Amino acid sequence: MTEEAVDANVQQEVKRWLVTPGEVITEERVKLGPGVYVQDGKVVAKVLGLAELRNGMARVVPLEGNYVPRQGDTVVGIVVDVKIPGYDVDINSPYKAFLPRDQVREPLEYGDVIVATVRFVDEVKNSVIENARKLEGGELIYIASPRVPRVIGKNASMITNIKNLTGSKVIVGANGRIWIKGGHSEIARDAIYKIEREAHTHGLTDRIAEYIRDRVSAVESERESNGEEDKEQ
Amino acid sequence: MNNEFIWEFDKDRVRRFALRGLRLDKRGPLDYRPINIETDVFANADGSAVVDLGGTKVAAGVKYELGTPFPDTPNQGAVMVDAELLPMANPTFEPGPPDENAIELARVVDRGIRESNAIDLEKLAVEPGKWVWLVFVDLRVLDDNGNLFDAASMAAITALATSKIPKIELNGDVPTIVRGDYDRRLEVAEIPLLTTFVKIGNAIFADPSADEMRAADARISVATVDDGSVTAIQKGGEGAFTKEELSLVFDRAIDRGNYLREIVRKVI
Amino acid sequence: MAKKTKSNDIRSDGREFDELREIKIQAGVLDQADGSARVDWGITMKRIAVSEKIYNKVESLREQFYIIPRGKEGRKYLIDVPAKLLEKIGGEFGDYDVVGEHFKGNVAVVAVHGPREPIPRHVADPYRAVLRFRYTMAPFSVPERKRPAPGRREIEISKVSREALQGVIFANEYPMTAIDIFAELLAADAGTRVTAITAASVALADAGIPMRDLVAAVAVGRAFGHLVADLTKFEEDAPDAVDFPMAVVPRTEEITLAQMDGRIARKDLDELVELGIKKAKEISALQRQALKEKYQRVVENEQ
Repeated sequence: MTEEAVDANVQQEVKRWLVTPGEVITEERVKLGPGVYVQDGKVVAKVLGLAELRNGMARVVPLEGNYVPRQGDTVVGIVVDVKIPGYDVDINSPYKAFLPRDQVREPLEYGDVIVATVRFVDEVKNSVIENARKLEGGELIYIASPRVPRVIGKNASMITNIKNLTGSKVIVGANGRIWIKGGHSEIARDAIYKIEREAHTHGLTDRIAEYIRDRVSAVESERESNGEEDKEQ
Repeated sequence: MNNEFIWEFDKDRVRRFALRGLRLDKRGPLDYRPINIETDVFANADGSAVVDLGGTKVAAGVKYELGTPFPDTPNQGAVMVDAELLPMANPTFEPGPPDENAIELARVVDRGIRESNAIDLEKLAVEPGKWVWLVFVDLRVLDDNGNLFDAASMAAITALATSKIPKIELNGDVPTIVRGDYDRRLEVAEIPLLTTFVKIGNAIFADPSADEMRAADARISVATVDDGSVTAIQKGGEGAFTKEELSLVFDRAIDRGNYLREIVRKVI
Repeated sequence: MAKKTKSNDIRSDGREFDELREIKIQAGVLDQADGSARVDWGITMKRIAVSEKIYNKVESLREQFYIIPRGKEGRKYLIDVPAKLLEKIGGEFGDYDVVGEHFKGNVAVVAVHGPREPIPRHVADPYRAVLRFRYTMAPFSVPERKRPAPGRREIEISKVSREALQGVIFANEYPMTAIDIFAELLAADAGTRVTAITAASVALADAGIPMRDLVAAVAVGRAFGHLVADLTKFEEDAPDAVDFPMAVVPRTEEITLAQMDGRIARKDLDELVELGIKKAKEISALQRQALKEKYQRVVENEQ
């Protein structure tokens, strides 16, 4: 079996453990991923998070923290200023994003919600975003941005489950903002909050699928017995 | 980081739900969030309480000091309420002296207690005309999840009702406080409590959450006591209430006040 | 120097001379903050009822022991005695009844907001996050009511606390931002700044701020002829008191806060610093446990 296949089949066996800043991860010579630093030949955790030693690399996946934009990220933002060359967009970060006018098809207004990609981040972490699309209606929620990878899941397994089982449109921003519309949007929202709370645990994908299925069948059997029409926003 | 820009977005959602008489957290229009009250929490305070109302956390501490009475009330002690909206409680609170919101909070809580005559101020005269008890109630807001008024009001009266008056020693003519030694519990004849309502469109909701506070057109806090009397009213926000809405609020304030009083009585 | 009597071997509150007080740390206690912590740091006092004869004898013990007479209540005479001291010299009180107990110590709640856009904007540094520390005390935190506004003492403590933490934070990862720490003391009883710094480290980690290590702080010093760790107010008021708050980076043993009040011989200083480092390491274990417990709670609730 290749190393990758091993990982996919026995994900539980990749050692992941909770660490706090200053804890030693390993004293072996390994590649360094994010969330660690080296001192006196020791690899030490930098943040509160889950430490991983895998494939000759040590890293700590943070569990907390405010979003810092990175090139290539998908972000969900809110227009907060309209200027001649473009728009200032709030991306739930200490850092602002700028959207040039030519990167969005229609003119935008203060308060509009958009999804876009981070094209470029400068040395003081201000970013330019591109390929923006306006999102109409729906609801916007936010979770801690370090938990977003869990909402997406390995090979998008988690987010696909959520979308399929609830029938909702869901757009997940790396910045922790998530847009949900249609379907059982309340259940989708609650499932996402549950993932956020339990991001550090095992077996989450299956647990969330079960959670959504249970809630959806409860709602649908109630609707049947009440003969009600779809009440969602 | 939940900042002001998402709050604007939330406001629309709150208003759309309110149009149908619904709340985002699925509460009924008169439902209060879960409440937890701790008493006797801080050893140096003469009385203390911490209230958690749906995530809003307010600490109250009582300190008794000796002072000279105010010239127009020579035989009365005084109760003074101060409030600080600590910057930790809300990203928009800035450090510095109390702003208009902190001052309003303190004064409304104070009026609710003072006008109820819950405390017999003449019993706080140590040497009438010369020395009286000054009862300081300090409110420290630690976490703002909406409805600071009701949380602060519960914290203040609970801290007072569980407080003890210190012993005094006479050093010649001058009374001095024996710190840590107590003479008796403060007698509190009433439990005045503020109940706050917001108006969003045509809907009126009790115990507003943080996003309901932001979406509200107007807000009103009413202090009541057991017999249904009202001891303070404070309307806030730019919007307006009709007189029918006011009447509705007064009725509800009495009912909700009794609900909160039952909770407070369990801990004092 | 104090007379050598049998009771000279017992600390004024019954602890060992190098023993810390009881420290309880909770992480993630506030909803609106990016990170937060609460620390309760003090001792348990037992209230006992004794005979009149014993009560009168107590005055002579008070010079050396942290005993507080609480007057007469009904026919009983009440005294507050530290629980650990009661275990050691209980015999001195004859036939006593325990009528109550309470916690006497510091209670600090610390919140971290950030990294965030600084207000005012002009304080922003293009190379690193700017750290701000605001230490405040509730008026009811001390025996005599304190005015709410921060005074000179609070401002000095804010400064040295900030400087104790600044060096471990990877501030260059967040240019043009502010990391704001708000420390509120709700109850104070010797060692308020070390309580605030210890709580602040936990709050910073809780907020996901990257750091080399958690900074732990403790006050060491001297009282009644002994070098001690973690002084009580009673010890701070001893005639030979030395109060030396320290903050330590446990992994490297670097010292990021050092202040001293009192007069001490050179040879004792090295011993005190070693004691401080040793105790800081114990405290850092408690800090880590608190951070991890926050996640344990979630696991329990969901199962």
